Amino acid sequence: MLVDWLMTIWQDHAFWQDQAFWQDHALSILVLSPALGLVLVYSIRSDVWARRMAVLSALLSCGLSLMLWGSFVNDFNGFQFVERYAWVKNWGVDYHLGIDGIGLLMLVLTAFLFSLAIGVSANKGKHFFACLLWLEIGTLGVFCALDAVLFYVFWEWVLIPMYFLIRLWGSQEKPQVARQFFIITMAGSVLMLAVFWSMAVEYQNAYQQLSFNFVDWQRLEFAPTFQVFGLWGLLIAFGIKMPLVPLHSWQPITYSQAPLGAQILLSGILSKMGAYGLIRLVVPFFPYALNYYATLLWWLCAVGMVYASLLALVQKKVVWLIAYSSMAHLALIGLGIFSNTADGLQGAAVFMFNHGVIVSALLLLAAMLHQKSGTELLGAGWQTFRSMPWFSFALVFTVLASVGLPGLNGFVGEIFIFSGIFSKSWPVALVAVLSLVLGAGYMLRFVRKTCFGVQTNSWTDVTNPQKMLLLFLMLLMLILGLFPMLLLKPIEHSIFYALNLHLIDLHSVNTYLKTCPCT
Amino acid sequence: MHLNSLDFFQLIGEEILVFSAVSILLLDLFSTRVKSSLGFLSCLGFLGSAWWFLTHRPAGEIFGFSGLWHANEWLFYAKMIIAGVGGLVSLLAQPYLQKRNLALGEFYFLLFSACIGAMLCISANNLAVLVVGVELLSLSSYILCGFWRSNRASAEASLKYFFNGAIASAIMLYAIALLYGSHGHFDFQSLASQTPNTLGSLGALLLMLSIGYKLALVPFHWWAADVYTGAPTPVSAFLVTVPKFTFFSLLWVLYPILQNLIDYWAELVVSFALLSMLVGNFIALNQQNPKRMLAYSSITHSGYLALGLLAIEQGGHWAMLVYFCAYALSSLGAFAVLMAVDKEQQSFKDYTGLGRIHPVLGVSWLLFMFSLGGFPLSVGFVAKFAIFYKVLAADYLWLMVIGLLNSVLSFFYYLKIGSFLFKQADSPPSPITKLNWQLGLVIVATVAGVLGFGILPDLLLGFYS
Repeated sequence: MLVDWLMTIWQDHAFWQDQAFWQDHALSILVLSPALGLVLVYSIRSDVWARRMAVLSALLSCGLSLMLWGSFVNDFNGFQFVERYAWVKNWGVDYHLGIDGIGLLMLVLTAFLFSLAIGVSANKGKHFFACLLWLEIGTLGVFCALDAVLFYVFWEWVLIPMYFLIRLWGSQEKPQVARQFFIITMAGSVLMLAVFWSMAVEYQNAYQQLSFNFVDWQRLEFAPTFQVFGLWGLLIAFGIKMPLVPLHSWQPITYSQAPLGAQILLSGILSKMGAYGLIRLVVPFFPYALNYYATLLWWLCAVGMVYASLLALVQKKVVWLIAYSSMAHLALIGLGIFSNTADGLQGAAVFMFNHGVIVSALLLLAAMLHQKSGTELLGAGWQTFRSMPWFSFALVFTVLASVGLPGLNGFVGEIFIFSGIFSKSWPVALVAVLSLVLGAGYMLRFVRKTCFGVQTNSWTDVTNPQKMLLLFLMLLMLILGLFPMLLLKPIEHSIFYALNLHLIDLHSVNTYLKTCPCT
Repeated sequence: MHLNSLDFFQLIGEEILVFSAVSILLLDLFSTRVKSSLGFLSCLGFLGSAWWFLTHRPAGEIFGFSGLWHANEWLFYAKMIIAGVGGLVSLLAQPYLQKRNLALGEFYFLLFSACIGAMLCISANNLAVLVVGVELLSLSSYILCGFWRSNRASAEASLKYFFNGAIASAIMLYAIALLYGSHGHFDFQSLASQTPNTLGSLGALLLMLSIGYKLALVPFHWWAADVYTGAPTPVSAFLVTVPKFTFFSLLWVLYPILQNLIDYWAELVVSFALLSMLVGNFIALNQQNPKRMLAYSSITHSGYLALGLLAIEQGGHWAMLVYFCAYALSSLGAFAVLMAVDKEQQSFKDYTGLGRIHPVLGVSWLLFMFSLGGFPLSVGFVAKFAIFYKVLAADYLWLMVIGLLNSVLSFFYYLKIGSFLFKQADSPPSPITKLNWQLGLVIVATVAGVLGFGILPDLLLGFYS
């Protein structure tokens, strides 16, 4: 009720939503807004001002994404803000953008996390911020691309700036990690490209026309053997990105070598690219194969969750603990997606958003701890609740959100996913619940060793700006936990759309607005 | 044989090259003032020829000299690319030759004659004429390789290239003898419609193998690394591109014959392609010298090009043409950056900090490496897309997947210099660079090509039928 009221106020005041220019160009403006930041960063001499320009640009993207949310129609079946321009006529590739609810949430999360990442990064020079802004273009693009080749281009776009972020501004302990990350991720992506090409060939054989458009491809029913090939190709690609066990070995070492800004982005949003790919591509196009391999995939995810949680339990370094916990949560998201139920998919989508917020808060707190304690290692029983009360409060709050305390945002996604997977297979759900218990275990161990030990110390509490930021994040987690409908409303129709594809009429909002007699 | 004067009008492209070759040689002989502009003048000659090929493409198949010569639109595009590469190489070569006090006119004459030989080779409609073209290309290349006589590596490269090339040519002549002996024809049309017999099939097989030898396809690749590394750098840039394009075009021209006479032609091409892709990649992983790394990577790219031969019915030869263009642009750019670093025996460590001193060089090197690896928004991706899509359409799914994974593997060595480029050059001395306007022009042109065709592939794909 409260949420409906809030949303009607927000959307009534979204006076820009009827402007044709906004409808036709909002996504391009959003995706290319970091380019403005790039121009600003490189045209200013001082590094300090370059950083401020980068922060401003990221906040601008944040604002644009909220404007997008304001003008989003919640109960529409199909893609909104569709833009389509011919790009490569010889291949049937268009510059085709459009979002549904899940895409919207991911865009908002991306813009928010980039603002956070740029804001908390120390000033490492203007090229560092340029790389972050360049990365933002690619990430924003992935979530709105509706053309396979465009999707692939944006997917790979992300790799180069991330390579430089890790190689040049990360911890220089293990410099080869950046190249390994690049190659492992790209290996997965080319498998995705191979699957896309095969789908295009199938489309060409059926309709005598070359097209790489997701919406066009929805007219096809792929043969079962083809679906199996497509499923495994895309699973490997997205499984590397998320990561899903057993394709996970690159993740913890890469997180530990990356600078803070890149860490937040890697775990907060790049991993969600994989999950988004599963929802956008695997669920609609390969239902038979997904059904056929369902049990195997559920067990893969459940075992992955337990495996990652067990590993998190024995970690000595804070970042590695957070990395494994992120891995476990992404496996939970995967479980929700593979459950092929409305609840599971909804839970996965919401959890993608919520986990982004939680894990970025965790990484932020870990960086603050690293700064105070001077070591990457997990505490030997520090007593920060006395010396750093604000920090400890924020840490306990975030840990509770991560563990899934009802009332905070982590719970929402988890309950939906478990509802979905329980309805399909209770043994898998039991094993997954085991990982929840282990999650509480390693997180509370972390808190105990950091906050409630006996080793007193004379560290000063976090600075005032940091306190404000932590307060903001905690409020966000609280609000999203108490009012989950804020996130659930946009994605409701996208989920049913993804599951019941062939029953939905495919019109974009633009044509709807033009033909509707009431406007 | 009737000599129709109209035949010579079809050869104007090659005649421009002949005229330029002779005039450059004479200019060098009689005038000392134009020495520093000889490279630029040669480039103009090449570009003029390329322009003629672009604007006078024939509509269908044309024949000349009583059936000894033929051409079609595809071949004219290939010749245009060859001439374009020649132009860029001649521009790059000028400062290189002047610094080492090498003869200029003779160099450009040989470059021209190599390109003329290449064009003759792919336009030949008769096995005997084919030999003339191949030999013209090869002999010019042998001499170009050893042009820097006082340098040991160059002399060694020339000798190795000569011996290996001579063996390949000998096998080719033997193959032609067998073909003629068993079928009684030299011209391609007749050979394409012959019923195969054992001796003829053997001849065709040997012809294919000899072309593979000249292309440095695995397992005939042993000579390539030393030759490409030892030759003077502009000559290396020429060797990795023009002979490769020539002989792949030749394989396309000979496709009806080879396909007719060899039963297992497709299997043969698949083995060549697979082996070249994999072996080239794996050896390149260990290289410390960027020039040698580019040499081995050229073997890998030959493997990808060979894949295009499998899809000729689906239009794979057009994909090969796109690949020629992409490979020429990326390779020439990479060699241009190599030439900017003023050191003969280079190693990756010589590039430490180059990106910080000359950001343009650093960024363009990275761009070329990404293009060679097939990263999106570069022309290399367009080329790989074109070829792999055709391979998929020809029903070779697993070959395509292996090819794609192989491209990813190649980033292991393509990114190697990248990690040195932008590091702080504290302990090793900063790289000495020798920059001149020719280098700058070539780099600008190739960067524009790589990015332009990468972002707007339609410009390049416009000639897909």
